[in-house]
Amino acid sequence: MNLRSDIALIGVIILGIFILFWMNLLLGDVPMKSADVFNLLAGGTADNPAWSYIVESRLNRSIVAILAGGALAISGLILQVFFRNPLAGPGVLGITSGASLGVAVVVLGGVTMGSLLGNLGIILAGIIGAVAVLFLLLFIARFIRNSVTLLVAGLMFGYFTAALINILFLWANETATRKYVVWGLGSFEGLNQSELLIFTTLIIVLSLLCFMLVKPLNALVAGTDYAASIGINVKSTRLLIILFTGVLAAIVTVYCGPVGFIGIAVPQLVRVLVKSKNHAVILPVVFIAGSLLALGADFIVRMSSNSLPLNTVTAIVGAPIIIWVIVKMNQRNVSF
Amino acid sequence: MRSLSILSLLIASFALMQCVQHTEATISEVTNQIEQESVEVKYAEGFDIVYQEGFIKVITQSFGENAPFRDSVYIMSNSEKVFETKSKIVNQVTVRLACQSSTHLSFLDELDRLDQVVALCGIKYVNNAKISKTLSKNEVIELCMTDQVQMENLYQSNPDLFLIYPFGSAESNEFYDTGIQTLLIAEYLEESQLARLEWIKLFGVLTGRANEANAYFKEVEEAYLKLKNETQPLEKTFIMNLPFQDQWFTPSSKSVGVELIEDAGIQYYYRNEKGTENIVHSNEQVWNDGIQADYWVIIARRPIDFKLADLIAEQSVYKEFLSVQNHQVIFCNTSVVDYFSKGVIEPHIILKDLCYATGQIESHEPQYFFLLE
Repeated sequence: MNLRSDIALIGVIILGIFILFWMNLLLGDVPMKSADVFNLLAGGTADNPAWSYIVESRLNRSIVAILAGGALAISGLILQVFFRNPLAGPGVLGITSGASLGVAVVVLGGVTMGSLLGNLGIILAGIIGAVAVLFLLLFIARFIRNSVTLLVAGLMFGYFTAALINILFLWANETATRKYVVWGLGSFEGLNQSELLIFTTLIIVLSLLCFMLVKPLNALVAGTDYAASIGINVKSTRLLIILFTGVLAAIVTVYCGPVGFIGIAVPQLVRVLVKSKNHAVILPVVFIAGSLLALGADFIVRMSSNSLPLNTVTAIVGAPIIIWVIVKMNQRNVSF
Repeated sequence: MRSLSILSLLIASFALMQCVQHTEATISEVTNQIEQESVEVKYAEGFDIVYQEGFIKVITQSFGENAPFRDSVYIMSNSEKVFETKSKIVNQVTVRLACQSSTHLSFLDELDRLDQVVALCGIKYVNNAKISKTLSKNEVIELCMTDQVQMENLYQSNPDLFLIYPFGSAESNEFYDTGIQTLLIAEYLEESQLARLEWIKLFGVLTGRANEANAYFKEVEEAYLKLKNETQPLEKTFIMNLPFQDQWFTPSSKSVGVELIEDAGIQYYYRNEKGTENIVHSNEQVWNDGIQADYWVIIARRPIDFKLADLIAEQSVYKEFLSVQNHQVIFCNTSVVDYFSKGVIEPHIILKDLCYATGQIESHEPQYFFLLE
C-alpha cells in the first residue's frame, strides 16, 4: 500500500514536471504554436530566426531549473539527516552564503563569467566558500550538542559573510556591483551552451554520487552511534556529505545565484507525503520534487516577463510549506 | 539600587546631549556682487528664476505626474533685505557647493565654476578625467561611501548649499536641522534635451555666471535646432540598449534619450507603448522584435576596443538582428565617454553623431556615438 502511494506520488510529480516543462517551452512573451516549438526542437526553422534562440533559451533555463531545484533539494535532505534538524538546508546553514562570499570576492574583484578562466575561478571560489562554511560548522558542532543552536551558528555565518560582502562593495566598481546584485536575485536564465554543459555534468555526477549515501543516511536517521554499530564509517561519511552537499549547493549558487527555500521546503514536504522511510526512495523523490518546485517557480517568473525575482517566488511558495510542516511536526511533537 | 544608577546614568547622558551647542547657520556676507544679465527660462519646467529688488529667488519644483516638491533659495545682492526665518540664502560669488549628483559637475565645469565644489556623492564614479583631476586637486570630500550621505563629511565640507535629489521628499527640509542649506535639483525629470540643458542657467545664476550660461545655452540650442530641422525623417526603426540578466530595460518613448535619437530621423520601435518610465521587456520579446529593427542604439560600459564581434559573443541571437547584419549598431561606450554627465550639456554633438551614423550628414568626427565595426 505504502509502495503504491509512493509510486503514485512519483508519477504525479513526473507528470507535473512534464507539463510545466512543456508549458515553459510553449508559453512566454512571444507566443508560439506547439507545431512551431516541435519543429524547432526537431532542428527545423521558423519564419522569425529569433524563435530558435527563444526556444533554445526556454529549453536551457528549464533544464537548469530541473537540475538546480533537484540539487538544492537533495542537498537540503542530506543536511537535514546529517545535522538531525528538519530546518537545516544550504541557505540556513550558511553554505549558500559561503558560496556567495566566494563569488563576491571574484566578481567584485572584476572577473566575469564567459571566459573559461572566469568560469573556473568563480566555480572554485563558490565551492571553497561553501565547503569552508560547512567545515566550520562541523568544527563548531563538536562543542554544540543542540541542533537548534547549530542552526543559529549557521545563520550567524550568513550574517558574517553578508557583512564581508558589504565591505567588498566599497571597493567594487559600478558594473561589478550591479552584476553581483542582479546575480543575488537568482535566476535560471542566462547560461550559454558551454556553461550549461559544465553545469549539467557537475550536477548529474554529484547527484548520482549522493546515491552512494543512501545506506549511511538510513543509518544516520537513528544516530551516529547506531550508524557506527552497523559498520558505517561515520568519519568518511561526514566528509562525503560535506563535499557532496557543499559542492552541489555551491554550483547551483554560482550559476543561478543564491536560490532560497527549495533546500528546506522540499525535503520536509516530501517526508510528509512519502510513506517510505528508505532514502533509496526519499532521495529521488526529493530530487524530482525540487525540480518540480523550481520549474514551477521559473514558470511564474517567466509569466511575469521576468519582472519577479526568482527568490521572491521561491519564498512565496516555500515559506508557507516550511511553516505548515513546522506546525505539523509540533503537533506530533516530532523533533526530526 | 542598580536601577537607580542606570536611571542616573540616563539622565546624565540626556543632560550632556542638551549641552552640545550648535552654531547657528549664518548668512554669508555679501561681497563683490557681479552684475549679471537676467535668465529667461524657455524650455525647462523644473525651475524658475525670479528677480526682485535686492535678491534673486531660484525656485525648483516638480511638474506633470512627478512626485510633488517645491524648493527655493535666495541669492542676495542687498544685505539689508530681511527674509523669513526659514529662507535659504546664499552669496553667488563665494558659494561653496556640495553635490549629490556628478551630472551637476558638467554644468559647473562648463561655467568654469568647478572650483566651488567642495563635496560630492560618488567621486569614484566620475568618468571625466579632467573633472576627476580637478576634484582631486581641490581635495573634494566624498559624501556617500554608501547610499547614505555621510553627515560628518558633509559638516566637514561646510557647504553654503547642498544640491540634492528630491527622491521621495516634498521639501528639502531633511537637512534643515543640520544647519546645511539644500536645494532640490531634478534636471533629470525634464522631458527634452534642451530643457535639461537649460538647467545650466540655474547653475549660472547660483555661481554668478549667468552671462556665460545664457551664451552657452543659446549656442547649443541654435546648433541643435539647426541640425534637427535639417534632418530628414527616415522610414527606419531602432531598438535600444542591452539586457541585464533576463530583463531588457527599454526607455519610455517619452524619454529624453529616445527623443534625441528620434531627432536624428529614425523611429523608436516601442514608440506606441505608453508611460514615462522605463519599460521592462523580457529578453525573448526584444529578440523577437530586434530582428526587424533597422538600428540598434546601445549606451553601455564595455572595454575600450569593443567590437561588433564582441557584441555577438555576448548573445548569439544578435547575429540575426537586422541592425547587426547591416552593421547599423550605434554604440556609445560609457567607459570611454562621459555620456551621462558631459553628454547632458552637449546634445548638439550627440545629435550630430547620430545623424552621421544614420547617414544624414557626410563628414563628422564622432565623439559619443559611432557605428560598431
